[in-house]
Amino acid sequence: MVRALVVIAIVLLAVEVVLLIALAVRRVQLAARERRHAEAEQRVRPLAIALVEGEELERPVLSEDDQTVLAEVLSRYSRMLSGDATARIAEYFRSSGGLDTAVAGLRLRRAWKRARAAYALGDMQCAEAIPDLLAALDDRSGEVRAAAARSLGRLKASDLTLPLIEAFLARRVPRGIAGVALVELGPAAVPELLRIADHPEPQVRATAVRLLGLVGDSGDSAVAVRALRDPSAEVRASAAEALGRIGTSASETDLRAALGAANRGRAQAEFAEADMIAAWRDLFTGLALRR
Amino acid sequence: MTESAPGREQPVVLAADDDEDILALVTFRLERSGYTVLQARDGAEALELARGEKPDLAVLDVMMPKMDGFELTRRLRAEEATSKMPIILLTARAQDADVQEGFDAGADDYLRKPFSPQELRSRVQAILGRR
Repeated sequence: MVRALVVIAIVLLAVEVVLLIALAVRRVQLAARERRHAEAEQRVRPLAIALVEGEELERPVLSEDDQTVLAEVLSRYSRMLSGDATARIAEYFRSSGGLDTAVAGLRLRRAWKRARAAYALGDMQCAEAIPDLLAALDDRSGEVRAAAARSLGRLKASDLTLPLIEAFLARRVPRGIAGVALVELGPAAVPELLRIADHPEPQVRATAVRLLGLVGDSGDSAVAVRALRDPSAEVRASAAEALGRIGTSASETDLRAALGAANRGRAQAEFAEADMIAAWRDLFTGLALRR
Repeated sequence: MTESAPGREQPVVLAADDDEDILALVTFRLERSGYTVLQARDGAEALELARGEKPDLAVLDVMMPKMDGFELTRRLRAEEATSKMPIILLTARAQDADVQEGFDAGADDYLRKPFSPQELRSRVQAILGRR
């Protein structure tokens, strides 16, 4: 019995030693990989900067590893830069084949690979990827759908507004990610939002008006004022919220009228509690911002 | 081309950001445009460089370790040697309240990230060209 226990203890000790050695070796391997990666970044950084700045220079022949690192650096730069720099980054990914590889990646069997491809396409800033990313909003994997929504927001095309709103409302994409993607569309989305503010579905109208408050300006407030009289309480609440952000001094009158109507107890069916809460909150927020 | 301080061949710009990529991009663009660039990686280092080298203009990130860009701007404005130095804040903090805080601290201009290197150069040239 004692002998058996001793044998077991020795075996366990041996297993522990093997595991520790394996961990140490793995750690050394990872450190070496990190060092090589850092060295590669140092090598390719001047080339990456020259590319985004449009400098003419002779492109060295890069190893496959260096090409991968260059793509990573340019993807990182695309998140920091705007204007001509991002157009040059897009051109690099087109001419180097990176775009085609990433689009093909959306059809791989493994979900994490499809998600990685969808994510990379947003940083490549190539508008031709939009149809494939829109299709990826219906991928069976939530991870892929979220990456596609994020990348569509990065591409900032105004005709993506309605598909992203629909993905947001259908909860095909986590609300936080879809919301950020919609806000990232920025002012470019305003013409489409003004059109969608008349959508037959009240939830779509409400989302469009709320977004207008986030990315529009006072010139767009007329739509929100009109939405204060929408048959849907959710739309009216969104309108009040939007006017708190983009309303003009003239729209204060409309907001106070909406509050007054709620306070006079007009038909409960017309004014839901959400109306009053949102309108009170945003009227005071709006008034405070204007001081 | 803009005028530099007496005794300098080129105007000197202080660039402060804890992000190496941003620092490299800003430095490249400004050096290509004919400026000498001093680099700092945190607010405290930037303050020391500003006091010692008295650059002609500063491009400052806001979210930096040791001292953020708002506090750094206030300190530069409070010291006589650097009180008139033009300051451009280059930052991802894009809310109206952040912009207001930047101007209240004494910044001359505010550029949001993601940014265009060409626009940054134009703003630097515009400010230094007025002096």
